[in-house]
Amino acid sequence: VSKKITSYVCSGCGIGDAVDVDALAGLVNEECEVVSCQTHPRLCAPEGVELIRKDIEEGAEAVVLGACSPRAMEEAFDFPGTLVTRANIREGVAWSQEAKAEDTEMLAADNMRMACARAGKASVPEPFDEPVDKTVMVVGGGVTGLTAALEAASLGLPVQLVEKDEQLGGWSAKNHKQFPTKNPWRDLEPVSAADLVEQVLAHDRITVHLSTTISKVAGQPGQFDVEIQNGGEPETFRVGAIVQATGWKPYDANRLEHLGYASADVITNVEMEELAKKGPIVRPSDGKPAKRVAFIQCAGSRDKEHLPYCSAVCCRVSLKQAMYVREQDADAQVFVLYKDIRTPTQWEDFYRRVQEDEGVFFTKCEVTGVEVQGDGSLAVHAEQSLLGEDVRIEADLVVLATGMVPVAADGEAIRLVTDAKAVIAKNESPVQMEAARKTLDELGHHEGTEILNLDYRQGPDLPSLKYGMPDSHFICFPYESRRTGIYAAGGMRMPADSLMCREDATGAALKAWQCLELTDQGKAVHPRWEDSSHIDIFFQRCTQCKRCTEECPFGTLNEDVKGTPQPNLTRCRRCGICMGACPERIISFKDYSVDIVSSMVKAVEIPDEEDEKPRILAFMCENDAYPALDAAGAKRLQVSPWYRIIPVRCLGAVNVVWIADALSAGFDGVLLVGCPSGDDYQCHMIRGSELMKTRSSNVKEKLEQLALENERVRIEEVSFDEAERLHSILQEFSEEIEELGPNPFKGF
Amino acid sequence: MAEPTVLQPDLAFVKRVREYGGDAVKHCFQCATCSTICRLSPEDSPFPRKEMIQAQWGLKDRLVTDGDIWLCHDCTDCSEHCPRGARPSDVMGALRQAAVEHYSKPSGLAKLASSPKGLPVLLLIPAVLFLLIAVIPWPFEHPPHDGLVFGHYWPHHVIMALFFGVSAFVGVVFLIGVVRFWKDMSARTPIPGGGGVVPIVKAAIDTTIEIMAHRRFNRCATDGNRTVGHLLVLWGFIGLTIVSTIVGFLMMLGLEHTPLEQTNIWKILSNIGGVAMVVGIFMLLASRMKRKPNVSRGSWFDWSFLLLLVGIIVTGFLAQIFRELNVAVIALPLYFIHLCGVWCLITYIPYTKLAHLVYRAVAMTHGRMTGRVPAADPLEAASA
Repeated sequence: VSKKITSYVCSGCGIGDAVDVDALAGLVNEECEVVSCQTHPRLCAPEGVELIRKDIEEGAEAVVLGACSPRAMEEAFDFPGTLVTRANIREGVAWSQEAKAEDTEMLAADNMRMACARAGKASVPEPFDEPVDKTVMVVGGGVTGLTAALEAASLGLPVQLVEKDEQLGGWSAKNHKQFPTKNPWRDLEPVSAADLVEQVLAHDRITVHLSTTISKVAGQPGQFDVEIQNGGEPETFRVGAIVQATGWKPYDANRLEHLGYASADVITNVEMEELAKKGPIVRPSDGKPAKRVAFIQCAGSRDKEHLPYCSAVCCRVSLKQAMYVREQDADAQVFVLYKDIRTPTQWEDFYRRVQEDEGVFFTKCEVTGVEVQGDGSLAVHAEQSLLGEDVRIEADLVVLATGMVPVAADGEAIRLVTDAKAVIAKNESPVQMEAARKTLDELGHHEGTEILNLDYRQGPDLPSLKYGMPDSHFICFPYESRRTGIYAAGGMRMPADSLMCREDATGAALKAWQCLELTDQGKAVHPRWEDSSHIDIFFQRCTQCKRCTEECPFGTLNEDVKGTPQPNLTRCRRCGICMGACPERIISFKDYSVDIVSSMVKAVEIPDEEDEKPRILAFMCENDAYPALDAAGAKRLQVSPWYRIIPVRCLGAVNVVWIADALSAGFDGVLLVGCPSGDDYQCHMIRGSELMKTRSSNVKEKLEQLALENERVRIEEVSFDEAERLHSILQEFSEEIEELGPNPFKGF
Repeated sequence: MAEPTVLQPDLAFVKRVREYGGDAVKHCFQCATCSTICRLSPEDSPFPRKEMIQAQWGLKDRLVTDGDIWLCHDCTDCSEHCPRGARPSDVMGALRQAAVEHYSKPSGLAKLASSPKGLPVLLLIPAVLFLLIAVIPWPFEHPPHDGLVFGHYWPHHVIMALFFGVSAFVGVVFLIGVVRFWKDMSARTPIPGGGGVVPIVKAAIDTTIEIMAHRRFNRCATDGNRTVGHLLVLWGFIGLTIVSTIVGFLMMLGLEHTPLEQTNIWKILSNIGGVAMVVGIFMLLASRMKRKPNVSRGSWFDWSFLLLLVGIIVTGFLAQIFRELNVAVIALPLYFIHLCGVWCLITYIPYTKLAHLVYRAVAMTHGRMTGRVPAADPLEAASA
């Protein structure tokens, strides 16, 4: 035995009632390559922990705990420097199987075998030691950027603030007044950006670059090398993390012809703000007073033809601007024509305040058009008004409440454009040329929108989601992006008012700080934070197939000219998708590799065909599916005893060779359970399930070659809270496998 | 498709509605809780929801001609349940006041009656009138009588002539108002088949029975006291009107002489009417005062009318008592106030809340013919 492994079987929490722990320990002692296997009535109690600690002191390099799920008692079983492997015999056996049944004992034994196999192969990860620069670069000098800079600086971090305009303050500084931000949420306030600007300029840890753009960001978290341009010689500096707060731009009103934008007296809310700031509010066409002002809400918003989403602030902006008009002229009439008034939280009081004004008239309706009348005034046509009829409203000035478009670039689209141009330049085959031209047609407009200019194989900016905002889970992982160490905040992340922007900025600054600290310790950030394993590539066998560089959701790997991957360890989130992708199986972690999992698969004892005990291998994602399975156990849902379950970092981290291994070892079926994919994906690693689906088509081919039924391998998606659904999937699949009969390769 | 309506808000009208008690009208966001909770509102174009947005938009022409505002009996259920505190029932009350102003000419008088500011002028007119009557040496002979006789100061011939004259004026004002109102309502909601005298009379009779029994009123009243109180006031008022008219005629014909004995049948009837009204008014006042300010605050229009009624009755009874006691120095001023009050009540009927007696009856009659007022309680009909 090369490695000294000690193992333990706990009989607490009902395990002892369901499993013959002494027999199990005996079996482990006899079969597995361990120094010893002991039982304990309550392993997580101080005496149990002490027992393990003593063995470690006496030289145990790895411990195997037959106890609860690895998701439980993490603190009790934390032995730094020693590899700890759990065999889940509580949720996975005692709580979900018939007590003391033969199948139950067999399942517990296999779980121990798999854990021991892992312990034999895996080793304790060694954190990398890379120098980390703790400067934060903030891109954008609006309310979000200013706040992020101040928050980061207040944490003691140096800040480089880059702004493309000549001055700081962003949209906020251009406002005439701002809608209320404090109790009683009724009164307009002077804009607060000036105060932030002053604080930033006065802060000695913040360096401000105005009229500046970024020409290149190379490197990785802790070591980003930034090159900026501001007219003269390019300047360079190093930062550790980036907060992108590039804000928003108004939706292009020129596309709103039907709302009369061609007329001088039809203006956008942004133009209205300028008009109010300059004062007084008059008709742009003839300078006559604006006695009747109509606000058209959702102008181009919540509209499939234009912006499909709600920009969240336009209602409050129009309410504010209605107040401008009424404060200027007590006889003025203001019409607010809305689809829905959306004034969340305390701003409902602001809505009431404006409602109370007798000169402001509200109706829900569908505005169908705006036309200029003979006398130069405007007529707004609206259908389905609350007055129960189609109406026409005459106005001197019409304000279009246009929405917010994020100022963000779609890095992935730009990369596709770059690749397509390369294909055309090389004059490749007609089929490739055709495809490249099509890409250029569809995505060509992304060219020139670059902001960060990342020197990443996967494109120069953050990948974006369907509305052009950065791709990160809006609720579960705010501020995260798909580029480690780069955090999105404010109007470019989601339509936001200045209070939300400030909250966002604080969150993003804290994320940046967390990234710097964890990176400095050689650990991963969200979602496998504190994981100090990292990828190791055996380059001699690399075939430059580029699957790893293409499939990494986080743009970790660059390529050299030949296509050899160049790892950037601090960009890596340790999901293992590259490991799953690699056909040469040369990407590994110290505690998670193709070989480790293959040994686990092979460690399972496959009964003979005559025993009529099918075996199904299930790979379950650690993020959602495995917790859901634990929950099913906690609910005491009886699971079929045929399953042998291996948790995986992500469904995308499943290498198809494991499936082949399983089927040739005699497993009758393989179930793969990942997180929901699609537009509203919940995959913590963005595209694990999606990638698995693509790879599984190769698996199906393999099955056909082996003359095995396609149905023996199934992919399912389950979210965290779906314990019952997962349970019924398991039951259904095991019944199906029973019907299919045994794997004909069993016993070979 | 119909030509779209041009919306032209009347800012002054919005202000007026808010002054008249509809101050929260702008808070409405059209959720329709009010018209859902209302037991009187029809299914089609229900009130008070549509009135709320029309009032917010100051669409005066639609509102004052709207018969629906009179189909509401102000039970305040809608205000109780309004999630925005917009108090639709108070808005409906304000709209009724605006409608009264619109239909009862001359509008100058209506304006004066609309707020406490007009009160001095309104009171000054009868005060001067009755002082003049008192000081003019009328050439009437008075039959001998022991004790104080109000008729010596305010000869009943003069008073009766005056009151009949004023009543005729009121009649004309109402006639004009009612005809205009009827035409406006019919233009908005045509009567199926066009109406005709017989159906109108039939609907009017049904409405009268309905009013006397207060079935519809009772259906909506959340407070039992309100129905009883309102019925007492109504019956008392009708009784007193009939009795005083008869007595007036009898006196003109010389068949009766004031002061009437307390045992006189007419005197007994009028005192019964008076007591009924006093009890009813206090019940109404009590129920009104019990209303929570977030549900109903009432308006000058409501309160002035109730207080006037109380004033008339209290001074009437007190004047009688002091006359019997022969204390002229108290009885005469009280009687003077009483006369002024009665004059106000009669003359200002078309401009005060009392006008609802007429306009509501007309709207209910019209509603019966158009179906806005169903003959039976739809809820009862459904459960039956």
